[in-house]
Amino acid sequence: MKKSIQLIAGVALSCFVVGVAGADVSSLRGGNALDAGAEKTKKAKIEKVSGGIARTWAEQPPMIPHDVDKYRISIKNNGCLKCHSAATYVKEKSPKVGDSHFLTREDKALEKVSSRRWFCSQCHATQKGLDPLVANTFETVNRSD
Amino acid sequence: MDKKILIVEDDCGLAGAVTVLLEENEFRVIATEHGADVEKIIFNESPALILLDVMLPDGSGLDIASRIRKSGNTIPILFMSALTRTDDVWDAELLAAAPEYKGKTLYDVLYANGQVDQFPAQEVKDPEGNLYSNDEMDHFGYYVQKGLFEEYRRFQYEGPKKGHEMAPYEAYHAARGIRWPVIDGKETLWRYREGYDAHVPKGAGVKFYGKPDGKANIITAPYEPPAESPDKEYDLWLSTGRVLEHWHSGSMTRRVPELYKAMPDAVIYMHPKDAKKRKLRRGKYAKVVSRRGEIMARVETRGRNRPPKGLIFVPWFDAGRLINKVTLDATDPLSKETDYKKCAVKVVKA
Repeated sequence: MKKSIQLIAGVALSCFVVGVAGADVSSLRGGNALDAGAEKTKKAKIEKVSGGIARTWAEQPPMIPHDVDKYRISIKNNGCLKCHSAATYVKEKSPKVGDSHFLTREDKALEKVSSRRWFCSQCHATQKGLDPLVANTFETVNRSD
Repeated sequence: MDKKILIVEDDCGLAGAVTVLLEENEFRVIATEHGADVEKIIFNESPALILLDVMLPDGSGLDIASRIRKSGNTIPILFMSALTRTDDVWDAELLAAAPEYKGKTLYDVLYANGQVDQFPAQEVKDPEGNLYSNDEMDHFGYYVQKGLFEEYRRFQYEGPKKGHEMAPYEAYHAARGIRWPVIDGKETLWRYREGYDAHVPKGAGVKFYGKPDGKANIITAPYEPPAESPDKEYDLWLSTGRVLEHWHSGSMTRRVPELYKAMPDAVIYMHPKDAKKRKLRRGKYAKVVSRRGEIMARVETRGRNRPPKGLIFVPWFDAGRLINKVTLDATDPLSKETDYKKCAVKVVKA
């Protein structure tokens, strides 16, 4: 009985979210009318954070704490690995590419970065120095480093 | 914002329990047992949701719901009912066609039918020995996922179509993926091809056995020219799409700080030479103008998207610069897809 009531209430709550649009909902567009011109936004630079940006959860690919405009990734060359590879990270004082990046999909260890992890920017991104667009009360569950 | 929920229920116990639960979750609850009051309450209180019983002392909840809908009100309605058996809800003809379902609940029909509930609850481990918790298995008391999958798998042998065979449930825990049809435990790497697909007889070479004549179903369509092409004034192609960070649309992903900070606003990706010709500089605002509308965004000539000369790309996630003010409302006459991928625009300094 109790479970069924919970179920009903759960369905009710989700319907509620879908069904109701309040009068005072503010848009990500800001106060602008739909047909008005766009607002110009502040030009933000890419954040430089020494020591890196803390992860929000354990498995998050770390955000890139510096500008990457100069670095190119092609099929033969990877600019990121100039500093982050196993051979160079000590000298460059930069974090080494994660261990998981040296595994094939069958979990075999490789000497070089696996081709499936080659394109760093697929998962890692720079951060612009902006405040979040919408306030957020999410608290980190597990900040591993 | 007032979050009001109207409960129409003559079972006081049930109405009370639901009320307590909703009020704990900070909803305001209005309860009535009279179906006749519903419209008045909707008018006076404008609740956001109605929980509606089907069997009320003064009529049927179904009638109330249809009256509400006929009046043009789209308020969400959720039915609560004690009608749980097939006899209560199926008509006589349907019951006569399947007498074995008479007097059963839908749970009996769908789950406790000897097929879905045949696998007892068990520990589930992968080949590495990781243990997987399974709440549903605990709730049902048997291995419900396996039961459903194995029921579904029967259609591949008993169903009308050849070549949809799948491996047993557990095989998919051990493999990274298995390509169907799976025949005698072997996957098919090349479908419809002799020597690979067991359904293709010797000497046939290639056979599309899904069709009676064994030939592929190739649909051709006449060429349809674009609804609009660049001309002297609107001299660039515009294409729209997504960026990786805002895979959904900005309405959700822009609320995630990491994603927002990685790609805050929509930009105009264009070829550096196209930008130079129009005296536009990277990072400066420009206007994308078409015959239908215009938006303003910053120019980006580097980075991940490098369109060829003559084409610009603007993602659509940004509510502050809605690129679809610029795009066409043309629709493909054959596939009925809207044409957001190509139209003619010009880009000018903002």
